Amino acid sequence: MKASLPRIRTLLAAGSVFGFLTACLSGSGDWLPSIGGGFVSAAPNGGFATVRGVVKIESKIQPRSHGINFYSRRGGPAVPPKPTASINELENVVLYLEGNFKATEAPFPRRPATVVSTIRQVNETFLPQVLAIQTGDTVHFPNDDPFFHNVFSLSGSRSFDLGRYPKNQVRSVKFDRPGIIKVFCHIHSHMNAAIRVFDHSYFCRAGSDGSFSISQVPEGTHTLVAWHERLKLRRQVIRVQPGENASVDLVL
Amino acid sequence: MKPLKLRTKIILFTSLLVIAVVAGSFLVINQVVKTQVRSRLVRDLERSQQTLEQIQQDRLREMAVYSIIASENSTLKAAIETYQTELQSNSPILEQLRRTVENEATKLFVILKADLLVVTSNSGEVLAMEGIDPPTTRAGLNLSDQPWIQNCLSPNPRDFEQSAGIWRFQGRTYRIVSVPILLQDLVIGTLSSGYEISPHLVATIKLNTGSDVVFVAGDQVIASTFNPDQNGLLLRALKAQPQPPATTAFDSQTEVMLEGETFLALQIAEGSPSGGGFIILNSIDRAMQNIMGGIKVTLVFIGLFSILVAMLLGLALSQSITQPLINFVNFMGGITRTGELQQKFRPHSPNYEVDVLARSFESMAQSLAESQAESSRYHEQLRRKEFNEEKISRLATRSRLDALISQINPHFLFNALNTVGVLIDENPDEARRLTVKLANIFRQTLQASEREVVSLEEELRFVQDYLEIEKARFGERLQVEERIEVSNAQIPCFTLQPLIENAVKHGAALKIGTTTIRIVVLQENGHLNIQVSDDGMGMTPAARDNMLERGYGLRNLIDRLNIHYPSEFAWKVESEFEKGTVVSLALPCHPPAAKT
Repeated sequence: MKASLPRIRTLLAAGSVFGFLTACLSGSGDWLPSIGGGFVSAAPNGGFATVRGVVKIESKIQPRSHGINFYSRRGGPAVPPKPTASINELENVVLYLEGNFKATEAPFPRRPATVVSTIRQVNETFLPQVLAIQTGDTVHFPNDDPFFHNVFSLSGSRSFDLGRYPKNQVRSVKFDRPGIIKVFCHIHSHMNAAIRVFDHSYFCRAGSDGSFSISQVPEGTHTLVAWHERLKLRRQVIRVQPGENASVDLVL
Repeated sequence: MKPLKLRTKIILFTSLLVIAVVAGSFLVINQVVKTQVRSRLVRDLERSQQTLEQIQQDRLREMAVYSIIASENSTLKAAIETYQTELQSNSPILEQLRRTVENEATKLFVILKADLLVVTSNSGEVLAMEGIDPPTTRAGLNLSDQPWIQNCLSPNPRDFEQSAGIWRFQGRTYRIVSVPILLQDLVIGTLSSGYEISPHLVATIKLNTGSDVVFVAGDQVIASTFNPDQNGLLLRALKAQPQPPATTAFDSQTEVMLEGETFLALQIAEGSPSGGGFIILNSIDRAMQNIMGGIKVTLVFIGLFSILVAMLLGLALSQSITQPLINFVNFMGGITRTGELQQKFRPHSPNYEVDVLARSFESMAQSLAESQAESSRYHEQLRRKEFNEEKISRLATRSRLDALISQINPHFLFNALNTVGVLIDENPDEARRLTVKLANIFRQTLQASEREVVSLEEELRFVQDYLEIEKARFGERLQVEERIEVSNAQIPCFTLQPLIENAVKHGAALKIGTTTIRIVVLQENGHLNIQVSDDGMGMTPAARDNMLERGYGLRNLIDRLNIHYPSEFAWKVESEFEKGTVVSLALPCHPPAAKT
């Protein structure tokens, strides 16, 4: 264990520099205050710590409507659903650590290899609208609507077309490469969802109250990113110390 | 130049009047109609404007609706959205995504039947453009500066009209409308569709509105229903017009002349002034032509009809004047021919003027006739006077001759000479005296033939000489008594002598015994009364009744007195057989009419 300490220190130092550089290069412009008071101490927990915090959305997400729904008289609900009303945008926020963790991944504990996530199709809406998964994960797309849906994606990292399928059928897609996969429905052009695929496990979706928690984060300096499909990225440099649970608040 | 006939004058005058009235009416009607046509054209223009705007609005709205439907294409939306997501990672799939967008745009372009279709991302970058060749021109094109794109991308978009605009691209001009491409109420791009403002379009509008349509952008005619020459003229005319301030959105109305034709032009503000706008034109002249054509024909017909009526009326009118005049002239000709001034112009002329003329002529003829009568009377008198004078002279001469005859009558001469012869022995003085008396008688007779009028004294002297001779013959059987109470009277010569001679010849000569001859001359009641009476043989009534035929001397005397004292003298012969005869003359006191 002793022998490993200087190595960790080196790593820490390297991570710190890396994080700093990343923060600078990201062009976020917010990095100065982050440096001043943003370095959060992580709990000394055997070189790992959990990063917790709360994300808030203060920017406005501008919804606009053209006032015409061309499917209202075609077997669907008479009044088109207002997806935004029932969707908590905080749940669509994905928080993750930026960086290349492949080299350092091996020593860290990993999530179970087969994590299955689900995006349901309810009321001509994908639920959840945003999903964060790790490479190798599979996503199920069950149809809960009483009519057909046709889920597809044109994204470069994983394009697929699940074809048309009726209620209660489930089709699944396995994602092997990281990236942002935009998901649409051929039949209902307004439906969309986004799947973020990471090649590491340092990510999570915010809860309905904006709280989040990324566990097993190795000690060192990292850049925490808050991402929302329609909002500008928010980066925050954090310093993780083993055994110290880091607490960080982010505003989008 | 020959003087015109009344009929010709009337017809000419009325024709000119009709032509003037028709021409005047035409001008007045033209002006009135022009005003009416103008106001009607203004209404037409406004209607055309409404139609044009309606057509455009309808088309744009239709395009907007179709564009909205088209924008609901899931592949298009997915491709655009994914394209923008992938753009951040510079993925190799970008090209495929852009091609997918283009492919979808091509399909939509065919369905929309638009002249132009543009798909942009939500940053204004053109992803696909249909309807424009070559398609390479779109590379790197960004339309975010176009107001219609801006409105679509705006988080607070304004109304539909703001998403429409005029877009000039590569020498073409498009009426364009944009709709946002929405993904779950988020604008991910725009879809714009438009139609080109082309000659075909303005021709269609002209077909619908009936007005000429020109689309002007900048200083250029983009599309027009006119020919190029007219377009140039129109541009120049519009430039000459005072430009309305760019801030006013009011459509301005002007009048322009193109190749001699007057148009009423209405400029329609089309969004931004730089974008260009339609000008609707209606030809005033053409509208006038349609209306005035009919009116002109009608007026010409009315004019011709009026001239015809005027001709007939002129004929009738001239007839009503000339016919009485002709009658009148004939009437005058008749008078000239016959000289009958008393003729009347019958019947009364229906023409008042001619009637008045005829009446004056008649009255003139009447005066002429009277004066002629007067003149002829005067000439008659003159003639008669001359005749009388001639007759007097003739009678006087005759009297003298008679006297001479009487005196140189063989009996008288014989008696006288016998008496003288007897007396030469018995009384030579007396004989000498008688001879002198006889000579006096003859001398006086001859002298008297020179004069018509003599004094009473001379006449008495002559009579006394004569009686001296007779007394010498008759001796005591002849007595003479004289009672002369008048002096200075003038009488025609040989007034007393024939009476004395008759008294001697028919009274004394036939009576046995003494006969007294009385000569009385008195002035009574302004008359000269001469009475010669004898108490000789007298006359039987029968002889007295025939005495003028038998006795030459008395008749001659009466005739002469008649000439000297026309109707102014009286004579009387009273006779009783074996008692005697009285001859009375009453002459006026004034001297007898002298021989001129």
